[in-house]
Amino acid sequence: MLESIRKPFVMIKECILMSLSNIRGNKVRSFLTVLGILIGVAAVIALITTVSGFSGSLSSSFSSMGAGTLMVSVTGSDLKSGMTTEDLAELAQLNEVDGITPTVSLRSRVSRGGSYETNISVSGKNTYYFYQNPQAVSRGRGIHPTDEDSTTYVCLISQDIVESLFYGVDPLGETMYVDGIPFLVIGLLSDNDGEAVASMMNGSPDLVIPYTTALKMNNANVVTGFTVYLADGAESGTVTALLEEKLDAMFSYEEDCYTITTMSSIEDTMNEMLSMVSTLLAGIASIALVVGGIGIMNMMLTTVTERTTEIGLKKALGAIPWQIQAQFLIESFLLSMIGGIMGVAIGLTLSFILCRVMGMSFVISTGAILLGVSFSAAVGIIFGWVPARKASRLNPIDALRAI
Amino acid sequence: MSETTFFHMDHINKYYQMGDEQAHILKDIALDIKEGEYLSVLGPSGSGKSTLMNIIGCLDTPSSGQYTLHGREIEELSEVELADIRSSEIGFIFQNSQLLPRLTAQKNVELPLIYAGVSPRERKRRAREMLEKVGLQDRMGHYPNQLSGGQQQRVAIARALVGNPSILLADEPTGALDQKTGRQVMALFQNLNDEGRTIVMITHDMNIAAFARRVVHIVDGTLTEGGGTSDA
Repeated sequence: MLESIRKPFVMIKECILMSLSNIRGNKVRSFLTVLGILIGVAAVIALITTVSGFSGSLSSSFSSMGAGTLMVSVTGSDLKSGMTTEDLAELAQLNEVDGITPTVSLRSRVSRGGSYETNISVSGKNTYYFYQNPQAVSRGRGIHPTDEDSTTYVCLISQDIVESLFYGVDPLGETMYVDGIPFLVIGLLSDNDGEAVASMMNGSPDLVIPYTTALKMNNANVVTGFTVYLADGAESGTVTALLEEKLDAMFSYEEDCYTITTMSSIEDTMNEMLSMVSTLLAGIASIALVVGGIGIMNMMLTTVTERTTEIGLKKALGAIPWQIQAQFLIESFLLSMIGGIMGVAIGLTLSFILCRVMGMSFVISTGAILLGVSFSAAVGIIFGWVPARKASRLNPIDALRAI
Repeated sequence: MSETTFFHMDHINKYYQMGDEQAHILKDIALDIKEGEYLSVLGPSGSGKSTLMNIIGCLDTPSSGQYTLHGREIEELSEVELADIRSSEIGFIFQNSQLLPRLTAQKNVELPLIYAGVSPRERKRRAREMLEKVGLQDRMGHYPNQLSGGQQQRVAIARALVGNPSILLADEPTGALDQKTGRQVMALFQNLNDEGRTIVMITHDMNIAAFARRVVHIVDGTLTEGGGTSDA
């Protein structure tokens, strides 16, 4: 029957209105009661949002550091001290590998005219490096295949070098000396060359030259460090396995000749740690929610005792037990939800400020909001259940006797 | 006035367990009320009149005996069915009006209709109609603490009437009122009874009981028929 479906809805709407007026009528007490829930939810939201903001900025800095790359450092064996150009070319042939950038580092003295700089970090790179990091060149050009093949003496220089050696002169096309060898300046490096990995791990180079030229200046013919760029969709795990297979063969299956580091493995570890920390913190914060729930239960039990007469009266006026139970349950639910919503608002404000202060990106996590709201709803229902049940079971005669 | 008996009590006994002792509160009560009757139950405190009222009002069930209200056997009903009877058959009026302080007069009157599941518009209409009937048409939006004792009791009467019950059950309706307002309330009862409403009033006050057309005495759990019809 339509009537029997409509009835409970009319009842519940009235219960909500009456509960709201009861909550309003006891503003201070209601506020103190929901304070526990408020603090709990605010803490959970602030923690989750801040940590997710932190891990967000962490992973974005990781991806700018080059997720999708593997770094191989080679210690070599007695027979083979490093990778030859042919070895690298062979690895670059792998389907899962997009390309390889060798890194050859040296320290040099640079000069031009009367000015000079010592202990300059010089990095040997290949064409592919500039293909992967076009933003590394702010002006001019990167290294071309011909530079690699014919070990030309060309270089890209950092802003620091421009300032110290080329004051007032456009450095492009000029000549400068690196360890006494004349080099043609073909390009300028960006201040932040984007490949934060290199800057973090090796310090950003002041000078970039073809790696073949760098090898020659080092009197070396093997590369001991290189970065592998994965092809689109390639799994770093698979590629690592493939590389290990190849490298093992190249180093005649000797142990400990090389180390492969993946960015994603570092990122995974850090994310794992972060999520453990945030779970732990949220766990601690949710203790506040339980305490808040107990506060609500306490207040509801007091309310039931205080309103014994009201309950008796309502029963006398024809209220059936579930209607009484619904009213108290709705009241504790609403109380808890009010606390929860206030907690969400405060938690978000708090984490917004935190993110700003710590210079992280602020991302509203709907998951955290849903968690906070549903948690407080659950607290309201769970901790309101016992008092509501108690109210509904009051004998109307005993309840009215209090009149 | 119709002469149908719609309220019948026979051999009603009520026992309460008080520690080790069993108290016999109501002893073999027999009471018939016809539709449109105005009955008052007169008795001192502790005489069992409140227990009798609770049984009449379906808040309690007798330990033994038969109670029929509008052809329904009360002692066999569940708690929910009793609530349904309270909602449809009985209008309660208590000593201290018992209004909910956070609701307006009109909302207080609507309360029984809320539990009966009446639609908001219909509720409002009937509550207003009842408040007009008790002469409070200009007090509908007032809260109980803005009303005098007599007005509060009139709101309570409107609330008891709003569900259109077959019987109005009043427990010391003038207990908290001064003589003048008490008399006004009694006049209102008289009018309601003149309109054909059945009223059962429980009181310890002989003067108040005298307003009813029929008085029964209850002493120590035993009911005796008092004077016949007395006019106010």
